[in-house]
Amino acid sequence: MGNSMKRKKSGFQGGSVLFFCLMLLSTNMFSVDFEAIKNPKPNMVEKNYVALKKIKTIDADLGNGEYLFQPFSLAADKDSIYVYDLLQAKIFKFDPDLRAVKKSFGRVGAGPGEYGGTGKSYPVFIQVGRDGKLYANDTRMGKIITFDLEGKYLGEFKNIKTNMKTPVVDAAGNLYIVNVKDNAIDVLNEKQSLLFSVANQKDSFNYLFSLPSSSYLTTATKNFARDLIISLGPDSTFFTYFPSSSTMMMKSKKISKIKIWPQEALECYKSSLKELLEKEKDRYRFMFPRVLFDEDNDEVFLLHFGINKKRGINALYQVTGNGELLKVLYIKVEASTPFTRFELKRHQMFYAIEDDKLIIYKEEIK
Amino acid sequence: MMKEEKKTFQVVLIVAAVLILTAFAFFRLYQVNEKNKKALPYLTLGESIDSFDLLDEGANQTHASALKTDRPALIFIFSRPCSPCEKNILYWRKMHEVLKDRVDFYGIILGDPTTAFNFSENAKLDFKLYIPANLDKFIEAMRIKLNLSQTILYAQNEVRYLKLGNLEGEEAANLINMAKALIKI
Repeated sequence: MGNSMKRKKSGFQGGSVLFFCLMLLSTNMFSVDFEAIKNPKPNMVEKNYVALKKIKTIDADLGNGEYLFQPFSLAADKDSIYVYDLLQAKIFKFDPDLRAVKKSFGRVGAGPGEYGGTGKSYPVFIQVGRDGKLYANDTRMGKIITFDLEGKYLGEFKNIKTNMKTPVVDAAGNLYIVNVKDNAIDVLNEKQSLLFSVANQKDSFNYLFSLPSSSYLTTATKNFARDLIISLGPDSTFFTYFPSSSTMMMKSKKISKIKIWPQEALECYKSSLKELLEKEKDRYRFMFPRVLFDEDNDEVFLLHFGINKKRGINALYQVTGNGELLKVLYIKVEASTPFTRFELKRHQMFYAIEDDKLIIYKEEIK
Repeated sequence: MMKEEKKTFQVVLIVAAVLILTAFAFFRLYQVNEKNKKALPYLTLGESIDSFDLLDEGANQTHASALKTDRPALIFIFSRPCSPCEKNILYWRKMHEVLKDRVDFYGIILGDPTTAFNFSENAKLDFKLYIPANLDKFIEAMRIKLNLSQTILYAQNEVRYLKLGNLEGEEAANLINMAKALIKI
């Protein structure tokens, strides 16, 4: 796993036998073997629980005739927060407190700089790249649009065949995408030429406790990208999080793999997974389905556990790149509480979405 | 002199006759236009809505004259099953969030009361929902021909905005701005 290898695009010009042999070989190379980890041993213990306090809920009426209907994806740079509205296909640029809209841009369509095509809703995932540009991944149209931070259209990557969500771009403007066909992560330059691949991730494709149903696994194999979360740290350190086995792979000069298996989270996950599979055998959930990369500290990750029924909390694990559990951040939940989806950590604030509301949380100081 | 006065009188008479005829022609045109409007399969901008009665969940009756107040009203008509309605509900919810204290909201469901009010619970709509007291009369008054979602802004006895089917984000934002402008008037 994690072998970085240079791969060049080349066409097959040999005979059909050679082609057939190569096909067989490649099928074998990129097949994904699933395995359940029998007795995962926790390498972390939860000691420090810190409550998050709701400090602001953003009104739908933003003033000056602008409205926020359905916040969907968020991004940040050093002095602004960008919010993509699913129902208006529009990006709003806010100050960090989300008090004032500095700008709004983007529109529905199929032309350059437009997204969504003619669909009923327009799922677009935004991110500020390490090169200081704003990237909008239009998953429906298979393109990633580049804007400057004032919303000026700069160009786009077209025909992107990945179901990865958040776009990842390094300081040189190279795009990192999950190549579903080859179970690899491809790095493309601005002209969309393949620079290199981090290939064949199969040996991290394990599952904790029990395997999902075969029909789920068939889909999982096809949707390899759906389960991977990748990000870039400073100095082009490259992180890949494998939610199925809850493992973080960090690649800088060398490759390291960290198992993120906290004691209480494992216990809760085991019982909730059992409960889920008893009810709906074709469904599955991961221990940490979402990972945020702490934008205030490149060394820290936030793994979203979701609901811990035992404690009645919605928990977010703060973990360093070296596998040290710093704290468990949480909000108290009740049965009627809408689920809070944490989207971004920046300016020491946690930006989250609850139903159709955008909310800011902060750590509670005792 | 007498001849000149007679001539002036004749001119005045002709002008008056022309004016009367023109006024009559305009009046008739207006009448025909109104009649034709009513013959269209749906409401048009600038029209007033005929009276009808609504029932709320507690079977309390509301008369459509409630619409004829100074406050603008947003009327959402929907039915089940209806896919545009489900999408529009997201916008209607937001419109209510922004305008709730300044605009009257009428969510009108075409269907039986049980389905209608169960649906409203799932849709998490914060405004009051109604069913027509007399469906035929309501359909006639609102001239509904299709089981489609309708969004209507009604103010000063006139339809100010009307959309059949799916709303788009920009339209919804513009509609809120239009309602806000009417509140100021």
